Amino acid sequence: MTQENFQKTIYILKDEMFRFAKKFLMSADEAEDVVMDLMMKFWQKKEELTVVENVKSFIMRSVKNECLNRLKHHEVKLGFASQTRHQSELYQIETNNMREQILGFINQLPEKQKMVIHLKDVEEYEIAEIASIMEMEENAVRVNLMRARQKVKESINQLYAYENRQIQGLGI
Amino acid sequence: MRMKTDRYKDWESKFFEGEELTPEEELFLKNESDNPYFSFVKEEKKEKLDISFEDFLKKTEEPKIVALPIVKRKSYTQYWMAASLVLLMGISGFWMFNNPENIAPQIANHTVKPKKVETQKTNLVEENSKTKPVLANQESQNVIETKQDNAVKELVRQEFEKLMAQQNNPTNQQEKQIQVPTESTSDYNPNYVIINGKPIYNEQEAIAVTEDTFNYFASNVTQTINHAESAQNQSLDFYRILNF
Repeated sequence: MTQENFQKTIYILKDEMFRFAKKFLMSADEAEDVVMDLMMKFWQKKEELTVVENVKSFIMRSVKNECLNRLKHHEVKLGFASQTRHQSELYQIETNNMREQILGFINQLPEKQKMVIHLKDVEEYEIAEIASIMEMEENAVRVNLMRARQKVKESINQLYAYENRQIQGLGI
Repeated sequence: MRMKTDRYKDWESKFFEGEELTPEEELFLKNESDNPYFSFVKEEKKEKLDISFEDFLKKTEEPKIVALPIVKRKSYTQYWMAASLVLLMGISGFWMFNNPENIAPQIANHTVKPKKVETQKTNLVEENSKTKPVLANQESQNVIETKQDNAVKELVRQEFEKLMAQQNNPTNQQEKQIQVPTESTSDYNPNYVIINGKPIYNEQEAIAVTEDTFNYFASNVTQTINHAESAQNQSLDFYRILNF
């Protein structure tokens, strides 16, 4: 595999890898570290990657496994806990930033739902690809996707209802 | 316009129910829907990792510094240091306890002492010690040991002959009777017996002294028994008086 091929087939996925890793680790620095480590490994074994059928799914699966390995690390766990606390505080503080609110709703989802909704709605993967990346059945992916979207929609509706009550309370 | 709005609301409800939409329908929702979720999704996708491929290639050429092997090497160094220390201690201990230079003087010291005593007593040992000086090697030690054994045997033989001669000669026996008490009482001497702390050389005298001692002991016992009987009679009288 030449440098150009590597850049067009593998390095081009760095942004997707970064976003996916960030969803797991809740830290941009950690996510960047994961992506660069994996890119190094892929570069060292670029000849072996030519044999892999679905390179995109393989790479995203590698990101998932690497993130899960890092989550086992104590410091990352602590960072994850503090970030979750931070997100819940953000939710309680009542910010007007809708993007942050929705991010908070998604981060509060169970891990599988969070990954499925990210891969489907943000990265626009097909159900079959998500099933391959997450190593799940396609039906399980669909169920997780449905539940994740419903929870996000309910949370958004609750937020709207809360804001409406606030507006009515103020007598506007 | 109203039909269009109803249609995209229908798609939106389908979307949040988890149903699959066509790419066109999803694209329409992302571009036209007023639901903040779709704008969130569009913004999320804009997030990127700003590392160019050239920078990545530079990183691949850099030598990677791994901290873990250094720690491993350190632990191995400590392990080898400890192992070599134990080995050195073992060798030095073995050398100290098994050094022939230390053993030879010890044997020499042990062998020299009895020789000095023997030289005072006998001429034979003196001759032996004069002919061969004590050497701090094992070959000479063996020779010395065999000679010492012979000397001891000779001493025992001479002592036995002296005793026999003393028994036969009464004048020597008298001399011995005078000389022996000056010697140490702790050593065993078959020429006398100790009765009441005094050595007695004559057998008849010893028997007579023993008989006297036993007679004295018997008289004491008899006297004590008589006293005890009188005391018993007194106590019986006392009990009788009490019973009355």
